[in-house]
Amino acid sequence: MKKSYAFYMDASRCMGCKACVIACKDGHDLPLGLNWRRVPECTGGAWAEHADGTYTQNVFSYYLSVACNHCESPVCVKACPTGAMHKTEDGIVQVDATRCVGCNNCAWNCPYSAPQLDKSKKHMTKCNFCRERLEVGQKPLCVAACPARALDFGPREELIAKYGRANIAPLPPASMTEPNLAVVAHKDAQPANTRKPFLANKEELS
Amino acid sequence: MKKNHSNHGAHSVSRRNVLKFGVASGAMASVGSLGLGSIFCPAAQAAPALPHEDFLTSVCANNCGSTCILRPVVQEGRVMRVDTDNSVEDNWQEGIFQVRACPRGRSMRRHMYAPNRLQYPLKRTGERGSGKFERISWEEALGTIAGKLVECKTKYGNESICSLYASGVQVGALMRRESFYRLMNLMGGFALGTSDYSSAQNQYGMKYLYGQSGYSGNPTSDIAHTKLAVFFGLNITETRMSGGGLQYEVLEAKRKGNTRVIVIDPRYTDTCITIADEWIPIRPGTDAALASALAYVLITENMVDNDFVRTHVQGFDASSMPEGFAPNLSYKDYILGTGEDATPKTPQWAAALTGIPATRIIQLAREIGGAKPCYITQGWGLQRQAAGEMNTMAVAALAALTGNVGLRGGNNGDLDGYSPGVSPRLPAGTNPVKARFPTFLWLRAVERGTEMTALRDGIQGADRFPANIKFIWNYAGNCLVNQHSDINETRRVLSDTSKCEMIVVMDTHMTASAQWADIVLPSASYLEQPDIVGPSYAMNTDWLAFTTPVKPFFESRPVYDVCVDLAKRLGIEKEFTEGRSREDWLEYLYETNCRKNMPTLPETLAEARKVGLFMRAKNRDALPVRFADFRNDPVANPLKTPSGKIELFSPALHTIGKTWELEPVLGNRIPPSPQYVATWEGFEDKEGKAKFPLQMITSHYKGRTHSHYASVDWLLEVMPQVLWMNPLDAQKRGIEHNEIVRVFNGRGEVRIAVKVTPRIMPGVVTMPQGAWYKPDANGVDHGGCANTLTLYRPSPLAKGNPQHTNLVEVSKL
Amino acid sequence: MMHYEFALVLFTVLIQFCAGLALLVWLAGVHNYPALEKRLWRVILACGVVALGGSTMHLANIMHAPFTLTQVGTAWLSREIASVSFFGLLVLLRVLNVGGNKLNPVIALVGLGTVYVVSQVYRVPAVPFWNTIGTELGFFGTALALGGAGLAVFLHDSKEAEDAPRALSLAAGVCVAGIMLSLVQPLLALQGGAAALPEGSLVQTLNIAHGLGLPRLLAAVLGGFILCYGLVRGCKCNAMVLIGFALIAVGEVAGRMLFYAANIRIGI
Repeated sequence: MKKSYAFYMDASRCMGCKACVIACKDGHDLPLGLNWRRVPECTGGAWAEHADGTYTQNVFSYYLSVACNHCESPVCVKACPTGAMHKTEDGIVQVDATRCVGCNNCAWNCPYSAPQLDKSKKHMTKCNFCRERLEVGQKPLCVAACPARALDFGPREELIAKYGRANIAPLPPASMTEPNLAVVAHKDAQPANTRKPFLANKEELS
Repeated sequence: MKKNHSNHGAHSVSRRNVLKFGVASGAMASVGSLGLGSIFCPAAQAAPALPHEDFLTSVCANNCGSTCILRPVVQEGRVMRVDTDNSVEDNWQEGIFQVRACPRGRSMRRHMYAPNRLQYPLKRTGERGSGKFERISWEEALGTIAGKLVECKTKYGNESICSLYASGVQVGALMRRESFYRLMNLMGGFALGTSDYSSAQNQYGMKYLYGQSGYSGNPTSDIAHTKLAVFFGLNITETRMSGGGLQYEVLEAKRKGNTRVIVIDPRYTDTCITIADEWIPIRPGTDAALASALAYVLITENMVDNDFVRTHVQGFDASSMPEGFAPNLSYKDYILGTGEDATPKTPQWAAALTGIPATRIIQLAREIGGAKPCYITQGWGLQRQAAGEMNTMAVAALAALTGNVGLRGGNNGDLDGYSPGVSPRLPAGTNPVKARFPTFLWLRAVERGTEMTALRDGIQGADRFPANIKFIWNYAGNCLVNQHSDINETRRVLSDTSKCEMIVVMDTHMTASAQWADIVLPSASYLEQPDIVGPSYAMNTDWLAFTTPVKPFFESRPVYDVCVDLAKRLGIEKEFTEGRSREDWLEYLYETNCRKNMPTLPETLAEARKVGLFMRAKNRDALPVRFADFRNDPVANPLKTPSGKIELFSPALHTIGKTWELEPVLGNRIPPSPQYVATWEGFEDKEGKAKFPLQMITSHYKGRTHSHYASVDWLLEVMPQVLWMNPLDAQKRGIEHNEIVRVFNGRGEVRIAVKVTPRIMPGVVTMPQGAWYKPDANGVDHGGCANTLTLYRPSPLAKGNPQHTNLVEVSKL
Repeated sequence: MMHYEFALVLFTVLIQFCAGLALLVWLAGVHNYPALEKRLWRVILACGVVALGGSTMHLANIMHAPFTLTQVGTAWLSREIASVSFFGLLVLLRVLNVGGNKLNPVIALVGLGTVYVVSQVYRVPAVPFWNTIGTELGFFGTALALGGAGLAVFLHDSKEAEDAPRALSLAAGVCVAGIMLSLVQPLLALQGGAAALPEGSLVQTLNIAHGLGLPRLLAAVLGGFILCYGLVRGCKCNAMVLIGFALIAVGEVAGRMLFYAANIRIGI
C-alpha cells in the first residue's frame, strides 16, 4: 500500500487571497472557467439600526480553500460510467483522459465541484494532487503558494485522525463523501448541516 | 540566457522532508543548517525543478508595498509558468521566510502575454483619448519625444515638463522611474509633484504632529509584544497580501503575542477574518470623532499618561500651551468642550457621527487606557479623505495621550510601520527645478499652473508655480486618467491639446492612461530586464534578488535603455551613462551598494545571479522601536517639530489655518490641533446626502494593485469588480445580489454588479479603486472605475486626494 | 436563467415515451392488430434511435462512448446505457419480426426496468431536488402519460383497430394516471429541496422556474382533458386527440426542462 495524502487547511489563517487558485491555474494551464482549487466565502450575520443612528451587528465571515478532497467514498468514481474517474493505489482520485466520455455525471455527483469539464480537451479534469510534483519530492502548487501558510498536506491517516474530516459550512456534510480534507476551523465556523445561505461568493466559483 | 538548473540538484534530497507534515517543525529544524543570526545565507533554489524545467529568478515589483520573488519556468525565452519562492524554510522569528507571491504575481504569465500588452511604439492618429493609434518605429517615437522636450524647454521652461506620479515599478535599480528623473535632471530639471496619491494627508498631518512624515511607527510585527492592538482602518491582510510581507508578519505576530486585535473599519475586511478579534464598523470620515470621544473618556476617567504627556507633548492642556496663544486652544479644551466650539466630545456625541454605540466607545477607551503597551495604528484609507489630515492626527494623538510612543509593543499611532532592507537605485541626480506642486494638483498645473500659489495651492519652493505643464511623461502609471479623481474633469482638460501639448505613456499594457497618450512606448516587464531588486517599502525583511530576464515582448524595451537613446538625441549621453553600459551600472551598484550592505555576497554579480536570491536573518524582536530615544530623553533627542515635542497644538498649523486661502466649502479648514471636521460629501453633508444618500469609499481590492493587473482575466474570473452594499440598503432599493446597478452622482455614472453583503456597514458602499475605466458613448463607465464618481478637490492641508469621500446614489437599471 | 441540456431532456423523455408505449402495446393487446403493432414497434425504434443519438450530443468525447458500458457493476449511468441498449435491441428484434409477440411482455418489463434505471442516475445525494422518490414517480409518470397518449393517437388513427374501446380506454386511463404521477414529481422535489438546501434556494428556484411551471401544468391538464374528450366523444376528430397528445408531450418536455434546471447541489 502506497502512502496516501490528505489536504490540510487552516481556516483561521486563510485570508481568501486565491493565490492557490491562480498557482494551480498557471501550473496546470487551466482555461477560463476551470479552477481546480476554489475559495468559497462563508458570510453571515445581521444588522440592527438604533434610534440614535448607531448600529449593532453580529457579522462574521471566513474563507475555505477547497480542491478535490480525494474522498474515501468518492461519489464521482461511483458515478463514472467509463471507469475514467478512479482512485489510485495512493489514494489520488484522477481522470483517465483516454477513457473519459465527458458526460459530466461525476460533476453532478460531487458536492465540491471538483471534476470540471474541459470542453477543448473533451474530457473531465480535476485536481490530481500535483502527482508529478509529489513524485519528485515537491509540494502541490497550491500548498507551496499559500502566502498565509494556511494550506498544507500530509499523511492521510495522521491528519484525519488529528483533525477529522472537513464538516464546515458551506461545505457539504462530511458523511456524504468522507473527504480527505482536514480543516482547522475558523473561530466563527458554522456547521456543515446549517441551512443558512452562507455561501457568499457563488459567482466567483465559476 | 543564464540558467541555474545546476543549482537545484544538490539540495534535492533534503527537500524531501517537505513531505513531512508540519511547516513549523520543518522550519525549526532547518535553522541550524542555515546558520542564521550570524551570516548571510544564500537562498539558493533548494527545491528541484521538475525534470524538464529551468527556473529563473525574477520579481513582481508593483506598488503593493511588497516585492515578491517569482521563479518563472522558461522555455525558449518565454515564461511557461511561474513558481513560488521556496528558497528557505520559513522562520518568521528570524526574519527568514519565503517571499511567496499573491495571486497577482502568480498570474504574471497571463499578464505578460495578454492581448492588451503593448507590442510596438504607437502614435496617436485620432482625437486625443480616442484610442486610435498607428504603429511607428522606435526611431520616430524617440525623435518626436526628444524634439518636443527641447521645444518645451526652450519655449516654456523646464518646469513645463512633468514626470507624472507613477508607481507601477516600485523597486529595482534600473527599472524604476529614476532613469527619466536622471535624464531630465541632466537636461536642466523638470516638474515633479510633492507627496503622492497614497498617503499625502497622513504625511502632512504626521509632520505637524510628530515632525516626521510617513511610515514613522514601529513595524507591525511589534504587535507580538502587546496584549492589545487597535487597527484604525488598517486592512493589512488585503493591502499587504504577499507572503513575504506584512500580512504574514501580522498573522505570526498575533499568534506569538496572543494579541487581541480590534479592527475599526466600514468594511468587514479580510483583516477582520484572520487578524481581528473584534470588528467595530465606523462611518467613513468620522475616525477623528471616534478618536476625540476616546480621548474624552481617557481624560475624564484619568487614563491619560500624565507623566509622558507632561514631558513629551506640547499643547495637551493649558499648562503646555506655547506662549502667545489662548490657553483654551489646547487639545484638552477642544475635547472637553471648553475650547472654541464649546462642544464636549462625549461618546454620545461621537456615537451619532460614527454609528458606534456610546457604550462601545467607552469600553474601547477603557481597553486602550488599561493596556500598556497598546499598539495603536491606522490604515491609509482614513487619511485619504476630505479632512484626512485630521483623521490621521486624531488617531495618532491617542498613542501620545496614552504614552505608548517609543515603547516595544507600543506605537505612535501612525500607518503600519516597516523596516525593509536596502536595495540600490540608479542615482537620479539633483533637480535644478525647485518649484513643486502637490502631486494631486498636476491637472490644475496643466490648465493654470502659473496661477498656482503657495498659499492657495500648496506650491513649495516658490511662491508661485512658474509654468503650465506642456509635456507629460508617464512611465508605469495610470494616474493620468484611471487613478486620478473625476475622470470626466480630467478628460475635459486633456482633450484640449493646446494645454498639455504632448503626453508620452510608457507602459506594458494599453491602460486607460495609454489611451490618452500622443506617443505610447511599450515597456519591458519586470521579467524582461535584468536588475537588482530588494524588498519594497512595506516589508521588514532583508534580501536582494539578482534577476535574469526572459526575452522582451515584441519591441518592448527597458526604460533605462530608452532614456539612454533619448540622452543621445539630447546630446547628454555621456553625462547620462557616465560611460557605463546597462550591465556596467548593475555591476557598479552591486559593488558600491549591494556588497557594501551585504559584504558576504559573492564577488561578482554574475555569481550572485547564479544563485538569484540572498536573504539575511533579522530577528523580529530586534526590529526597531521608533521614537525610543525621544521617549527616553526628549530634551537630548527632540522630535523635528518646532518645539521638539509631539505637538497636539501646532503653532505652525495655527498660522497656516489663518493664512492659507481655501475654497469655502464645508470642512475646508485647518485647525491647529487634531479635531473632527465635518466635510463636504461626508456623513454630515446634509445637502449632498439629500440627493446622493450613500457614502462611497474606494477600498483596495485584492484582485489588483491599484490598477495594476486589473485586466488579467484569470484574476477577474475569481475576483470580479463589484460594488459592496449592505442588505438594508439593498432592500430599500429593491436591489438583489449580483444585479447590475447604476451608481451615480453629479459627476458621473458607473454600471457595476453589486455584492449584497453584511460585510459593509449600512449607508456605505465601496467601489474598489483601480478597475479600468470603460466609458460608453454617453460617458457611462462600465468598467467599475471609481474615479468616474470621485471629486477633484484637494484636502485643505496636504492638497491630497480625498478619494474615499464621495456621496452617491445606487439604483436599479 | 434556467440551465438545462436539451440533449438530456430529449433523451429521457423519448426513452420514457418508448417504454410507456411498449408497455401499452403489451397491456392493450396490440398484437391483435398486426399492422398497428408493426407500426408501433417502428415508431418506438425510431424514437429510441433519436433519443440515443441525441444523448450523445451531451458527451464531450463520443469516441470513448464504448467505455460507458464498462461500469455496470457500480455506476447507474452505465446501467442506464446498458439497459437502454438492451431495450433497443429487443425492439429491433420485434421490428425485424424476430421472436414473435411473445417477446412483447418481456420488452414491456425491460422498458419499465429501463425507466427505473434511468431514474436512479438522478438519485444524487448532492442534488436534493432530484434525490426523492418523486424522480422515479415522475419518470414513470412521463412513460405512462406519453405511452398512453401515444397509443391513443395510433389506435384512434388505425382502421384495423377501429373498434377497440377497451384498448382505447386503457390508453386514456394510463395516460391520465401518468399525468397525475408526473405532476406529483415537482411537489416531492420541492419538498426534498426545501429539506436540504440553504434557505432561500427554494424561492430562487421557484423564481427561475415560475415562467415555465404554469405552462407546464396547463399543458398537462389541458392535454389530458382534450385527449380524453376527443376519445370519449368517439368523434372521428383525429386533430383533437393529436392536439391532446402534443400538449401532453409539451408539458412533459417542459417538466423535464424544469427538472434539469433544478440541478442545485449541496455544497460548493
